[in-house]
Amino acid sequence: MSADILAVAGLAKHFGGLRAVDGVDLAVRRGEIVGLIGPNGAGKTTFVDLLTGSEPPTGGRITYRGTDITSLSAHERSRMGLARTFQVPRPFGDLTIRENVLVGALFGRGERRGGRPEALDLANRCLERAGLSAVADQSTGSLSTAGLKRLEVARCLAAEPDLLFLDEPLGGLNPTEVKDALGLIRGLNDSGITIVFIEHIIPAVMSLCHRVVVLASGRKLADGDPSEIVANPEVQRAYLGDVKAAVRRFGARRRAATRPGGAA
Amino acid sequence: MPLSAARDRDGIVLALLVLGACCLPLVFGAYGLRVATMVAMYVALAQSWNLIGGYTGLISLAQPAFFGSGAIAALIFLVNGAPVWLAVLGSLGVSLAIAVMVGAPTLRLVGHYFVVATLLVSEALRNLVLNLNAFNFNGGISVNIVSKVGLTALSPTTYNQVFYYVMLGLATTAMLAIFALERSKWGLALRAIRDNQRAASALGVAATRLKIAVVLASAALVSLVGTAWAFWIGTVETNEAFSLTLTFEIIVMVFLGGRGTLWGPLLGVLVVLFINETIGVELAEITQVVSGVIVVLVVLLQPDGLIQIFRQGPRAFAPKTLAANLRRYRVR
Repeated sequence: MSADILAVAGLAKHFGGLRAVDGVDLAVRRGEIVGLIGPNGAGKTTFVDLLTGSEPPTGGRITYRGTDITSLSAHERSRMGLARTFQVPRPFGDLTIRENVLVGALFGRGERRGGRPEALDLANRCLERAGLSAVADQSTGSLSTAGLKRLEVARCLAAEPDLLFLDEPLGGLNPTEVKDALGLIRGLNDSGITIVFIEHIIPAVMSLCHRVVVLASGRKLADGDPSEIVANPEVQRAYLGDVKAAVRRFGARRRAATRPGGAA
Repeated sequence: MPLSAARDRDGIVLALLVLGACCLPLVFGAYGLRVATMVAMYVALAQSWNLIGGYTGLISLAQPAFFGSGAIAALIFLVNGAPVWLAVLGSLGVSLAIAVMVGAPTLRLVGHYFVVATLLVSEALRNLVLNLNAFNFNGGISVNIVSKVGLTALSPTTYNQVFYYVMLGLATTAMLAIFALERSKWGLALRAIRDNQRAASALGVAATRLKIAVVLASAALVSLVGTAWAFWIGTVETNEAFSLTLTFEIIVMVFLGGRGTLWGPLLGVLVVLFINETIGVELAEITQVVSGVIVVLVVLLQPDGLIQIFRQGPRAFAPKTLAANLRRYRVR
């Protein structure tokens, strides 16, 4: 068996004329933490949607642990050990925090074995690991952004993944929370979970990841170890170009807003 | 999920209620029994809708299609010489076939699109049946169920008692289905789907398959209630059997009592039928106004249904609670 847990070949997703993901190849080795970075709109989240089965691809092939999973649905992939968090947390609002995690425990990887007590036990361990035990019986409405991000991780853990996609787990967190979250992610990796990590906070990506992949306009721009990526002039251009464009747009909006008689 | 002590009492309360309901024919006269039969029928229908609308969050208006097909197909089977058991199973089969045909395309739709699509299905089927002229059927149908089971005569009291127990059986089945669902992992999965289907799928819940199962279960129950109703009243007219009004009434009852709960729909049925049987009898012309005002007040002040009054006690009426409930309607 090869060391690659995931192999992606020519993966594409077109929304009408928009090529959100445009023929991406990627191999993820067992036990790695791979960082997936790129400017906004680069196709990172769509890429994860394709890999986890939330969206059907337009073309390409996804192989997970040697099995072609391209045409499998999201729940089938989940039961094979693929899990993901969502960039904008999607808690089950009418369920308590413990029940949220219980969904993963009852329907994820362990779906076919074990009973209710085992699932509850697993859910409790995941809550503990994510630091949510104290609030487990509260509603999700009581959680802060950091809490919701932790709940996303706890639910995934309960599904017992081998490969975990984290979609901007640090977004909206303060520096202390970022540090805690990085510790949590490192711990998950130490316990044998392969991680693909989408993030904008570049220092965090560089310190955590064994390898970094850069997407821009739906294509893979670079793939290498963190130091290579930082030094890559193309990567710098893709990111800085984006920043300059944003500044230009912002300036135009301000001019329109301050024009006499012109509403924004 | 055995998640609260209150839910552990549900089983006992349910058993006592069913036991009490079984004894009602001993004390009720013809009128009382008729109302009790209606209550049982509405409870069965309300819980069938609760399964779809309450637990799964699919606001389905396809129920008339299942009720109507259950009623009319059963009578068509009977007038064409089929035995009663075949009429029951045959009409159930027809309803389930419709459910599969309806479910496959409409379950891909979300929100308002699903509501409109299911409404169209009901209306299309009503028009289709209205124009059906075959199998000894022409817009309406009439059968004497007593003679079909090989009896020459049955006293009205016994007749009404038989149908009371049939409806009670269906209502109990519906209540038990919800009771079991609340305690199983499938109930948790349905609530997860209702809150966020994508997240549920990502955690291993086979959302589409589960939704189809719920639609089929609900359709089966509604169809059986339709069949029992048709046997009971004997003469069925298409517009009545495919009536959307009945489904709207049911939905109001479920929302009024508390959707997605075991006791809410039962409470809603009792409240609405109580209003109809009291004010409705004395002051028929203002019943609609009274029930309308009640529904508006409950929806505004107790959006989770009257069941909250039982859960929260006097706190449910506290100005603070009511104000908080009203604020849920604030447009952000």
